[in-house]
Amino acid sequence: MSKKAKTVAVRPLGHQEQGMLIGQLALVLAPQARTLPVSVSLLLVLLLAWRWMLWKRRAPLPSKLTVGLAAILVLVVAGALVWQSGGNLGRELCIALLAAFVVLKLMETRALGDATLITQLSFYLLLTLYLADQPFWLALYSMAIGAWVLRNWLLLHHPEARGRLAIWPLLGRMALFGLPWAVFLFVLFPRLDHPLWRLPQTEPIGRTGISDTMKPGSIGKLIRSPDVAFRVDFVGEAPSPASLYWRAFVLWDYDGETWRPARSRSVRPADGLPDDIGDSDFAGSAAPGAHEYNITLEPTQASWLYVLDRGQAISANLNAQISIDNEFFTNLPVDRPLRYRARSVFGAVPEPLTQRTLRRALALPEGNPRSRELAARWANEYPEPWQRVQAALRLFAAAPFAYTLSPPPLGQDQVDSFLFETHRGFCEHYASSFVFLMRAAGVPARVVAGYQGGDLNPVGRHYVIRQSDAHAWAEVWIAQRGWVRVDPTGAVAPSRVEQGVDAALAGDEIPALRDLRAPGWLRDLRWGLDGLSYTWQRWVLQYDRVQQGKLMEQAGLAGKLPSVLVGGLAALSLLALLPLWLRRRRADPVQTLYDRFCGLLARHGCVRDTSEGPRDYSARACAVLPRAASAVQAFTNGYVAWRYGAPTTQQQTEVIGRLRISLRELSKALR
Amino acid sequence: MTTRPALPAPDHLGLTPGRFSAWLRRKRAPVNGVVTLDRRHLYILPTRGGIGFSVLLATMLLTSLNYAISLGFALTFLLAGIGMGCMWMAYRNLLDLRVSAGPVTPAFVGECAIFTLHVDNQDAAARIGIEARTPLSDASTETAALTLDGVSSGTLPVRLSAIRRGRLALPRVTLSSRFPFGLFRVWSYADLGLATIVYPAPEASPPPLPLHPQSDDADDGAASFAADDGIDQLRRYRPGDPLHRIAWKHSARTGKWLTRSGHTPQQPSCWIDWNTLPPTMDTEARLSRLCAWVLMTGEVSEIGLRLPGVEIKPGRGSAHVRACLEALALWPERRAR
Repeated sequence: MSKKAKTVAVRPLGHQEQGMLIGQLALVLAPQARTLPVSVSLLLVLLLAWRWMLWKRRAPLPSKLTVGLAAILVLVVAGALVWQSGGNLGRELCIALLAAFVVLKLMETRALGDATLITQLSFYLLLTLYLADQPFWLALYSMAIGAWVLRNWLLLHHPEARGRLAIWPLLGRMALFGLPWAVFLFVLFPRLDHPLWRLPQTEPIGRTGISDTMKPGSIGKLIRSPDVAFRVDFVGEAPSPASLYWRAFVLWDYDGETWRPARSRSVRPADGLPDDIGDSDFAGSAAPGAHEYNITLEPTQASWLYVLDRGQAISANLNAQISIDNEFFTNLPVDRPLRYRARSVFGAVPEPLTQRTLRRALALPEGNPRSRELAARWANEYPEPWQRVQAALRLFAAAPFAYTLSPPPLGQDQVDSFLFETHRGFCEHYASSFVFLMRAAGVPARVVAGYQGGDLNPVGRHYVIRQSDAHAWAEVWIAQRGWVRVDPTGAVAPSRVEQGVDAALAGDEIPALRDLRAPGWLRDLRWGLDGLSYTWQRWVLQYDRVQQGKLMEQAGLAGKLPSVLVGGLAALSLLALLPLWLRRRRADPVQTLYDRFCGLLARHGCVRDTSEGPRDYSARACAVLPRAASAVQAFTNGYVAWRYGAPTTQQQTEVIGRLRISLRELSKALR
Repeated sequence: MTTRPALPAPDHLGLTPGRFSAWLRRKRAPVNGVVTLDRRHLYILPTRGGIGFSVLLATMLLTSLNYAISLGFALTFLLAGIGMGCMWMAYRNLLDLRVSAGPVTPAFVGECAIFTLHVDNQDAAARIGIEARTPLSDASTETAALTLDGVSSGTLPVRLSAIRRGRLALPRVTLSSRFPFGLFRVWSYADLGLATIVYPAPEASPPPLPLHPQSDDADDGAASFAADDGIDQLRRYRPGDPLHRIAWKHSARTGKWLTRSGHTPQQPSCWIDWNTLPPTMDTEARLSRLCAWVLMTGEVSEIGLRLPGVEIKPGRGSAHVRACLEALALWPERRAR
């Protein structure tokens, strides 16, 4: 066999086959450009282009020395990258090296064996595409390329099949055959809780989402991005869009320019909710006024979680922490899509205010004398804190204030500059100056950052919250009521709260977003794609050990994973033998009956010789077993008439029926 | 069951002696001249490429497990499923093929004897890359491969290098295929019981044939034809007369079938005789020279062949030449003639 393998492996490759390999590798490697450092991508493109030029000119392959020099060049580039990044490039480097060496292998691919190696490694390279992220389009792309690689593999091994064989239907049949195995193993193959090894990984280039400080412009930048922040599906009735305030965290400390969260938070473990089980199960179980929902959060690289208004509980398996300001945190930054369930109520909860918190809720930096003066006037004029809040909202609602994403630059005293000079800004300007005014007027207040609103995807029945929904608002403390949400932006531009940011803006400030929301088939298509991507994320990408456990529990098979796995594999193997068994069934039915006849007689001591004809055998059987003589003769006559006559199809069925009857009689006679 | 000499064990299973290999080596003799590669006689094992592929899949699985890549699992398991599908495709590629013996060509020592196998595909699906090998085939003889369309048949030449003069039996033929991806090798055996004759290698530049015109024509069997010896004598057609002997013009004119009898003038017959060769020559060298002489003169003139214990009377034509070559090939095995 080894000798033979060698003769197969040394079949030299044709020009066209070489070209096929080059094209295939280029297609496999193309999406790597998304994640690999630019220098590495360039190097790979250069190597591929070199090989392609050689192919195009039908030039001989480079010598071993040249290939070796190229390999050294690759290693030098890799070393330089490691040095440059301070040894922090593990995973990408491994992928890049593998890719580079597969391309180099192409330089010395002469025979079928090398081509097979490249083809098989192509599959591994496809897998490495998924390491960074796994969007739906990539799945489609890689499956298409995978099919192409399979086709090439078949043609490499059997060039003679070209034209004789419908290759795509054949591959389709093979995929159909493989699909039950794939689905079964995907669902039931045990997953790991913790990785076996970890290669250092570069920081993601663009960290999206809100940052943990707020200064003028930090949210404004975000609002221009149509990227999805998270998706929500409500269990039961969804609240109105205007009340969808997704809280992330509270900002306490202001230095005249930047708002920051408290330096230390007091946290406790959050109340656990049973895990997300299904789409719409126990819709009625939430307390009146409470809402339950599932959030699928895109990676934020931050540890805070978004909940609707006032969160009460969150998925138990997250081991999340809740702070005294009703913020939720995970232990680790969210570096991959995360799905959790949460329960919230609307409205403030009466709570006492400690002296420490009160001090913090009134603290103000130096400066902004005109704003302080205005606040002091309100404090004199209105005895009730809530009246001061109303005064501020009236101020914003009045004429000169406008909502815009391109505010004029602010002066030294930012609050004064905004309130008395520019009058133009967006949520963070309003939230910031509102809280400043409130604190100056003696009303405890704080800034809250998060998202507001969301679009209902009519296809997937879920809400999509985009980066453009990023928002900042305020909370003021009112005795007997607790922390009450006040959105000063809503006073300026009510449509921002009710319909979203693009409705609040005049002109074409964010065309990308306007396109996104313009009605028409394009929007429907977008919603369809969004629904698809949500389903994809939820059911395929998020499928992990926890989900697997839940599924098993629902199926009533909790804890029996190994036995189900083994049993299922055995069943599938048996299923795989089905075609073979179906073929066997085509055996001659009359002959099968005759074999049973012989077996029956043999059990009663009359074994048929291999050379004995049916009539001789019958005569001998009649002599040995006289009680069955008539049945034996009847059967033999029928058999001989069928075997040596030329029966039509109809006669054949008759013969089979008669033979069955005589066989039954025979077994009765022998009993 | 008759006992028969044990075949050399197939090389891929040389390490498993005992009952299994005995079972594997059971005879696959043709039934009504046809060996059907049915499911009881098809064997399948992964190739080295198949083992390599499973290592690749294991690596992909480990990577997916470690980084919890759902898509990676999907790709890995789909490929694994396709691999399982390959097993059936590979099996299906040979299943129920019908192999029967075709014509066999004799060969001279040093050449290749070609045994032709008829392979018949009664299924609608094409059969790709069917290969035939024997334990005697080696790297030097190229492996024949055959691809059949659905419901068709083709021939698969099996080349055996003729090393020794005499009878050359076709050993057990292994029919195999690695369709579709070379992950699995499916094979089966056929013992077709074919044999051919290997003639001695003709001497490259033999000396001219020593002519011994014989006058003992009266003794030999040709005497019976002596009566109608002559040119263009006509006689009534007798069944069995070759077509080219029919006198078409005369037949057309007379309305009766007429056959030309008699012989064209020819060179006197000569004897190719073992004993005329120098006694110092060894057997094979003598046979080589005799073979060369038979080939040189057999087609044009009447020759007879004398070997110790064998005598072939003078005659001509390709059948006669073949008989002479056969005698040379089989000598001294077949003395009595």
